[in-house]
Amino acid sequence: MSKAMNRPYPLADDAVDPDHIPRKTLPNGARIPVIGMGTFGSDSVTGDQVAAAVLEAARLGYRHFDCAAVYGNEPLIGASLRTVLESGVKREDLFVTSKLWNNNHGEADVVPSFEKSLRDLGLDYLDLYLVHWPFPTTTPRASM
Amino acid sequence: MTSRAHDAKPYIHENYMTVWRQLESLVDRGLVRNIGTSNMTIPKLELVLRDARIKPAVNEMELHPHFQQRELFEYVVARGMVPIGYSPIGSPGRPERDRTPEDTVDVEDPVIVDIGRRRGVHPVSVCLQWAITRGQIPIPFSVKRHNLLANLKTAVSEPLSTTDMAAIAAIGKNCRLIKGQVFLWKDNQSWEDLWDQDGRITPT
Repeated sequence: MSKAMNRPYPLADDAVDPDHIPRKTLPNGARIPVIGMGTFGSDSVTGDQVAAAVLEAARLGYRHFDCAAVYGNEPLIGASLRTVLESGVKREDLFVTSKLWNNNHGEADVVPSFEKSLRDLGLDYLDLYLVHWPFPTTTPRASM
Repeated sequence: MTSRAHDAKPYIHENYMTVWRQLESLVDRGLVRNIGTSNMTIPKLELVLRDARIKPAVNEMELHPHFQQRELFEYVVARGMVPIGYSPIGSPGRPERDRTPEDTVDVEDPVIVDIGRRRGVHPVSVCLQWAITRGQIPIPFSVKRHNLLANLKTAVSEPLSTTDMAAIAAIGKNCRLIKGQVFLWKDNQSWEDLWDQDGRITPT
């Protein structure tokens, strides 16, 4: 059996062993790695570049990814996460966050927004979901 | 700086709790394991902690050596939440709208540079090591392989000494970079109004 098949994921030779990254315990017992990768590409980095970096980060040992709907790149990051999971990384070893954007604070808009992020990221649950800002906007979802 | 968005609305606790109850329902359905807040203040968190059935597990907030938010950080930790720190290296790639002439640069601070020199690491790594040693979770962004790797390595490196932590504690400049001015809900407000600086929620 090749080395790659013995490993849960083809970590780079110079990677940090994900098992060596300390984790903090959340109130319900979940364990979050003490460092994560941010995924906001700002106004200078494309979604494709961010998604490629997520894949590279997983090879380097990252397991914690901080995402958000408003970053506009969750479908692309989802493709990278699928690659990571299909290669053998266990879902429970990943810690994936997303966030509710300000235009979806209407009572009927929250769950569909969450489900869109879940679908875009290609997952069947998220580890953490945040209210991105405590300030809603009034623009209806349909016009965004 | 970009002016406010014309559809921005103030914090109304009742509306926030409507959102929060939907998040709680997602936990009940097993679709999300933890729920949390972001960009909050102590007076807002007081109300959420009072009224939430499932308490926030984390608060994500801007945290870097020049913006340490000591009071909010200690509040969050004391109530069992984990602080997640964004812009942990001072967000050198932040959007143009979030740049002002008064902003300071963490990685050029002589204290940070000196600690990096002694440890043989880049000042960026010192900022991340400070975050981890202090107990917040930094979420640095990069698309460059060597930066991604150097950032991750701080999680398996020697924590900063008590002396170095004390030195960095003394360089806070209250320099908020992500001011949020687009979220101002009426004219003639300043971005400080978003952050409840006098300890109560800014009136609508």
